[in-house]
Amino acid sequence: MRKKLLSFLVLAAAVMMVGCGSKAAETKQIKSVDDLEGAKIGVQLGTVGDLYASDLEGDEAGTSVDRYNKIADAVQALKQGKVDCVIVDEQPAIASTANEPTLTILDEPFTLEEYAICIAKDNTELLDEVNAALAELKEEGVVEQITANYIGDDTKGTCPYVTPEGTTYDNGTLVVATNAAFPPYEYYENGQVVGIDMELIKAIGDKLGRKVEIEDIEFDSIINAVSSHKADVGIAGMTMTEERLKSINFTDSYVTTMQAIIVKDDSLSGDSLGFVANLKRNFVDDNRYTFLLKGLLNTLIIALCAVLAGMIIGFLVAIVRVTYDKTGGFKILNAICKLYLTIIRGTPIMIQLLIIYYVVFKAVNVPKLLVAIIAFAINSGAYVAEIMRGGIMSVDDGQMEAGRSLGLNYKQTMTIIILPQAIKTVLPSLANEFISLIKETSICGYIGLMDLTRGGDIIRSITYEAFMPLIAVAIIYLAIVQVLNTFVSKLEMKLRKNER
Amino acid sequence: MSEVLIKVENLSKAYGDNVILKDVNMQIEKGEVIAIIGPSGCGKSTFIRTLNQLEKLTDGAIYLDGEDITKKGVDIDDVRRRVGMVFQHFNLFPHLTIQKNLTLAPVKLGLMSQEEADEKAKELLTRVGLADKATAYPDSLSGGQKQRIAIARTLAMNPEVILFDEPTSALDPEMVKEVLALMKELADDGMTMVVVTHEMGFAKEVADRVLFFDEQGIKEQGSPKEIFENPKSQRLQDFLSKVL
Repeated sequence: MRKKLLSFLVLAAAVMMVGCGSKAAETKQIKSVDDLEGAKIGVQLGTVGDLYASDLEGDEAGTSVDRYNKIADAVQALKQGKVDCVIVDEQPAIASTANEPTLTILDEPFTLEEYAICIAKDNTELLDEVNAALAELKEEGVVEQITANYIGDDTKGTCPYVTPEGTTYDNGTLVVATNAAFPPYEYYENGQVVGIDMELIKAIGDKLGRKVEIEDIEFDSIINAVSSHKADVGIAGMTMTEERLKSINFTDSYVTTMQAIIVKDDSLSGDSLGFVANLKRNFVDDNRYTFLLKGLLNTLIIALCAVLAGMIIGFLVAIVRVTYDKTGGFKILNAICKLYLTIIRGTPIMIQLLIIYYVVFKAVNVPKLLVAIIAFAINSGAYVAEIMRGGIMSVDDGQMEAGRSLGLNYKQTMTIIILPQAIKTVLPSLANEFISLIKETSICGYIGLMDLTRGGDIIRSITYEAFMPLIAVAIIYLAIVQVLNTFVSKLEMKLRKNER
Repeated sequence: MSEVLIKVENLSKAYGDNVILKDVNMQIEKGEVIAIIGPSGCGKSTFIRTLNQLEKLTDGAIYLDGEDITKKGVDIDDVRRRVGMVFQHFNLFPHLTIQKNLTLAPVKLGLMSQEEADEKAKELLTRVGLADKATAYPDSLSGGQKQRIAIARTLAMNPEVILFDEPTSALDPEMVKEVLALMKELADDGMTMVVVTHEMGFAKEVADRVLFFDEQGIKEQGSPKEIFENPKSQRLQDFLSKVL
């Protein structure tokens, strides 16, 4: 029965995806930059492509811009005819069309642009140091060497940067924020973030005597992370723009590149990868399945720790609330608890997570996994508290009276008589809270933590494939939840059987 | 012989403007069995619940062995150890076995070791005729059995007096008898008992004294013979004509 349900869901999802794909709307054929007027343009949110395309948006011709979180999503939208073209940096454009026979890049570039490293406004000392290092590296030909190692069919992979002998890291670490979804500048290979930017920043770190530490976060969070000192520098194929200059400083540019226009050309055709080959490309090549495994592990760790901590929080809050309701004690604590419940249950968990990461732990360096656990524990605690309170309230008043009339005090009666019964009542609800918590952790990517969802996202950013990683992630979530559901119903049955 | 165990002075109880009891005075002697009768809503349950302070007084005082238990700073838990209570709805602990229901409080309060409590529980279960139910859970018992266990649970604390709050009102008729029989046994053994009841037969047969509650207090009291055969007030006569 359950297996049938599962396969039905997968089938339904698959049909939906294919359905969306074939429903190609009327598209505008774009052959040059001039054709962009009145077109539907796809971009990655917060990129330079977004910025320039936004200038065209809303003109008389009705140009519109669709902003996606990932280039892969924008490319997928183009394939399905949801947008007419995608404006994106040159190298990702090349990479993302490599396996797409129906997509092509226009010869004419959209614009030229220069990439630079961003550093917090109040950190001019570091800015000067990095600029000096960059100048030296340019002079020594290292910048050219690194670029050649990634771009150019003849030179690719032939001349990697090597740390000079005798380099020591006496000056601490250099925390680098990036968004490893942008080959060849930064992307994952065998579980490592590699690319032109990564080698370059390592070379700069070597010059400064600082050990580089990579933080992979969302592109539109990088400037935030750097200006709030979560990271020292940001390097992610980032173009210096006036808008960005308002909130952050940029070093001198290290590479000149262009914004390319990807279009769909139906006259082109070629062999798309078969299902098995595609499966292999998404999960087997480069051991990409390990992204899902690592992500899954993090997801489970976060959910489990958070639900346990959340139960402790919820438990205490519930006891304070019930004691206040029943005896009038804990007046001030009760007010605090009520405020906590109101705030947590009245705001989205994603906002809570971001606030805890960027505001509460702004100045302290706390591991992201711990940040996530804390955020989800605080969130879960509020829901557990209300579940627990309901459970305690559902225990007959006569139980308290019986306990008290035997001479047990309030605390003893609460812990030995009321709580065990309340917990038994709410155990299934608590398990359900755990189940929903597992799914809620899928927003961890917003603070750059690799959970299951982000694991799938990383694969998508490498393979530019929407379908398979998403479905794989969905199936894994579904499987975990099903296992837990089975466990919960067994538990419920066992609890019912007891006491008979 | 006539040693006063509980003395109630000018007891008043009100919920806001709603006066339930007003200036109630009475006393209970050691070994005495008192039945409290009266129409529903007359405050007899509220009264018995004030005796172990499950209900707080609005005014007045209650003395247990000469000590005012309504004063501030009294160890109310200690008072309750000495004043047992049996409820209309039994209030057994459903998550614990019968044995554990009996031994929990004495052990937790340090009155007995687990072994002593187990021994005592065995003895009490035999006494109430349910020795075979020690490992069962309350939900597997009939109402009559539950109430007998509840009485045994109270006895496990060795109380000086037991308050019964309509102990047979929630029972099916065929189970009333077994519970009343057990209560009669207790009375015969010399236990001090205060019983709120609708069982006139029990009041007549077992009680030493019957209190008729009506209109915020004790309207009439006396021996069963006086109350049932020679009721003085019109209210009592009306009441008896309805229930007998």
